[in-house]
Amino acid sequence: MSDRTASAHPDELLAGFVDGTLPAEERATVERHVAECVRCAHEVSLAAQARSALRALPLLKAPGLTVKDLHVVTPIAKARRWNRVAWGAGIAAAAALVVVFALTSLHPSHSTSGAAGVPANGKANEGLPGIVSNGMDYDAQSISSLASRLVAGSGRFDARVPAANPGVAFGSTEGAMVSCVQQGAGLDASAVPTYLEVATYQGAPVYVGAFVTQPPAGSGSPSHLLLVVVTQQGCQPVTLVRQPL
Amino acid sequence: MTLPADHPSDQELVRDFQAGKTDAFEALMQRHERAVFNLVYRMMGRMEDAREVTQDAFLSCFRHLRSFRGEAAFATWMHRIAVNACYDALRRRRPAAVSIDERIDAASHDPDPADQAAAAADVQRALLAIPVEFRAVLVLHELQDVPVEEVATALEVPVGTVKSRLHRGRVALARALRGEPDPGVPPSNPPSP
Repeated sequence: MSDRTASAHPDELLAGFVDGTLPAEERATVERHVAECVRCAHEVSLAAQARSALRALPLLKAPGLTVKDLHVVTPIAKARRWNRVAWGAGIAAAAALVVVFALTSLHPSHSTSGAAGVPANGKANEGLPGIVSNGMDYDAQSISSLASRLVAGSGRFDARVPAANPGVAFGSTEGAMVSCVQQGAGLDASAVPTYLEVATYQGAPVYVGAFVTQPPAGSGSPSHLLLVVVTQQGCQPVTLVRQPL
Repeated sequence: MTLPADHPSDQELVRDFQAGKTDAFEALMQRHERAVFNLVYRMMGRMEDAREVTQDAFLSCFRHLRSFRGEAAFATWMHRIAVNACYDALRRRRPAAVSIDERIDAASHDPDPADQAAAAADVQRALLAIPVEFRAVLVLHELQDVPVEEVATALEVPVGTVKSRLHRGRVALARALRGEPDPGVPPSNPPSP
């Protein structure tokens, strides 16, 4: 047995040889080659092992998706898609409704930065969500809990409150954070920011932002609160919680 | 797939959908979801990614099915969509340590599911270590039992390329399983669109 030059190796036939699907003539050719070629004999052995290992992999259960799931936003990448699909045709302008909720009443233990905390009573421009910073270290459960508190604390948001320019309520620092969270979540400007927090998520520094999103016109779907967590460094998405309002 | 006589074929369901019967899409989804999900999971390596990318793939299918001409089988076309959705997701994914989330089907009768899961996790880890072009061919051919010719159609590459990738991929996977470097393997980046 000896090695051969690369050009002499029947690489395109080796897969079929391992599969056992080669016609008899080609199979005999490969068998003669493999009997004399160290390199190909070794590769055939490796390929057979890989084939066997792959075919032993279990078939996983399907998650049971339905057509409805194709329009449901759950994880963060879905927010990107949802924006792309549902808001891509100019619906964003129609979604310029602002909801400002009482930060202190929603999340009193976290409010340390003098956030204005305006109730959802229509006085949009009086309420700066401000930045909450209370040294919280979140995980999936506590983030979900925060989202529930944000929603439940204000009852149903008053989505009738108009705001010509939702972003104007924020100062430059808040604006930079909002941009970072929006960028990380793939949200556009029509998602109205309602809450900002500087925190950690499982030890890593993050920004936490809540946004109110409007459904496509005429869809009959409710508005949603999106609670988004992104890394402070690079605004990379970490997680997202979506709850109907 | 052999279907009972009273079950419409994929081709019939596609025609129904194109004729405005949206329920037909639900039937197509139910029929192909498990295969697509498994394909995507083996490409991505994480359950959460697999669910998302499976949704992405079916959403893309839903949006383009009206213009599907049936030049290839629906399953082949769906494979193409799913693999492309994986490539897109892999391009978007930031580099990170991959956690293998191997869940055994509850119906499995393996005497030691823990061993099976450990072995499967090793293979999955090795799969993720080889170039995505090799991975796509291996997953389609070995795990989905898609013939080489149909893999070529799904991936839009020549049959000879599929055969070559199949062999190179198997060798690379075996070496990855053994922890051996494979100097012949190019970097694992998804193909550009």
